[in-house]
Amino acid sequence: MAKRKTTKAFKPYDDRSQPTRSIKGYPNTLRRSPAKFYPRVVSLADVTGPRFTAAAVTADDADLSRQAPGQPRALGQLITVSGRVLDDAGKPVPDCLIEIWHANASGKYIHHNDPSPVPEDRNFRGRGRVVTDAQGRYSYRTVKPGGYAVPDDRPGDTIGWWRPPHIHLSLFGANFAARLVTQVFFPGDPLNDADLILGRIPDKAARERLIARYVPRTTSNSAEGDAPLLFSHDMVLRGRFETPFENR
Amino acid sequence: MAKAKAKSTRRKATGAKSARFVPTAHQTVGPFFPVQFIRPSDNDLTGGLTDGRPRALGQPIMLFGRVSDINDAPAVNVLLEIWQANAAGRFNHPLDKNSGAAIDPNFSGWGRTATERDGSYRFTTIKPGGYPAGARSNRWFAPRLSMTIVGSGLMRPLVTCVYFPDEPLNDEDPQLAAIRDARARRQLIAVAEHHPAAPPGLPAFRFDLRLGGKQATPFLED
Repeated sequence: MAKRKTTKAFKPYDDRSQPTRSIKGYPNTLRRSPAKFYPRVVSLADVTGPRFTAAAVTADDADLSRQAPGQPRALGQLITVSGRVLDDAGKPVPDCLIEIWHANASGKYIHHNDPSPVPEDRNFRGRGRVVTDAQGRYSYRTVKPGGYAVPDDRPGDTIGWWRPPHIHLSLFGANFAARLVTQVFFPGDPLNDADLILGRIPDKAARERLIARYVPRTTSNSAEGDAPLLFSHDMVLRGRFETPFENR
Repeated sequence: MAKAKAKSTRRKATGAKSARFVPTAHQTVGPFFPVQFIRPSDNDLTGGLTDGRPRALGQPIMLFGRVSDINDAPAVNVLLEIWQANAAGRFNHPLDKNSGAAIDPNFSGWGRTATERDGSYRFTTIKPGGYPAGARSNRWFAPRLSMTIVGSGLMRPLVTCVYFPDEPLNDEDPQLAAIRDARARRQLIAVAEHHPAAPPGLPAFRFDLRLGGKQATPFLED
C-alpha cells in the first residue's frame, strides 16, 4: 500500500520554543487569552495559502530609513538586516512576503496608538516590505530602533518595563499554517534579558534565535558610501508540502 | 523493537541538524501595526471595491461580527485574516489539484481587516464551495473560511474556522466532527443576520469572536 501523508501534515509547535500566551505585567495577554484549544484537522486550507511575488513590493519598500530615494535619512544608526527564510526541513522559502515595522531611534512609532512623548522623526518611514528571492534571501535597510518605556498598566506600578530595541516582522510563507508574526532583537542589549515578551519563551536557544547577529564588515567602508552596520537574521517557518496533500 | 525505538529517539535527541530548523518563535504583533499595510480593498475579496477589477464568480456575501476580550469588552485593533476556497471549492494555489473545480483568476481567496473601536469587523467575500478531504477520500469539508487572528496581547496567532448555517456538508465535515463538544461546534457556525451596510440581496452572516473566558470562540491547536 502506498504511503500516504496523514492528517498531521505539519508538526504542532513545541511550546518550549514558543512564548507563553499569558504574561503577568502585560494585561492584554490576560484579557485576550483562550484557555482551551480544539483538535485541528489539517486540510488543503492549511497547506495552501495566499501567494505573493516580488511584484508585490518596490525597491523603496526595502528602505525604512527615509521616505523615498533622495530624501533625507532618519536620525539614528543606519543598519542593514539581511538573512534567509527557511522551512523546517532547512530549505529556502522563496516569495515569502515580510512586512517590517519598528519605532524610530528615539523609541517612538508612527502610529496613533503610540502616546510616547519622545520625539517623532519626519524623515523616518518606519515600515517596509520585502519578498524573499529564490534562495530565501531578504535584506532591508533602516535605522536602529530605540527602546522605549511601556506605559504602566496602573498608576504607581513598579514594574518599570522597557521594551528593548526590536523590529516587528510579519511573514507569509508557503502556506496558511506557516504564518509567522515575530520580532527581532539586537545582540548585547541589557534590556533583552528583562523583556517580558522575549523573556517568556522558555527555551534559551529559541530566545537567542530572535536576536540578530552582528556581522563584521569585510569590505571597505567606502564601498557602500554610507556604510550601514550589518546584522544577519535567519527565520524558520513551519511546514513544507512538495507533493499534493492527501488526507484520509 | 524497543531497542530500535530507543535508538531512533536518541538519534533525534542528538540530531543537531534537525534542531537548527525549529520554527522561529512567535511574538505579539503589538499595537502599532502600520495601517498602511491594510489596503482598503483587502476586506473585499469579490473585487467590488476596486474600480475596473473583474468580479469573482459565485455568491457574494458579507461576513461581519464583533471581537471581544475575556470581559466582553471590544477587542480593538485586532487583525483578522481569512483564507478560503472559491465558489467551486478550489483554492487558488498549485497544491490544490482538484481538476473537478476550476480556479477563478479573479478570486485570490485571501483578505484581511482590523477591528474598529467597537471591536467590529466585516468582510465582503464569495461564499466558498465545499472541497474533498483528499484525493482518495470520499469525505468533504463543508463550505468554510479559515481565519487567523493576531493582535496586541496575542503572543501566538489564533486560528479558527467559520462555517455556514444549514449546510448539508456540515454534518460530515471532518473538522467539525473532531470537535466533540456540541456547543463548540455550533459556535463555529456563522448566523444569518441582516447587516445595515449590506445592500439588498447581499446575504450577511454574523460571526462573533470571544478571545477568552467561558464563552471563548473555539480556537484550533496551532
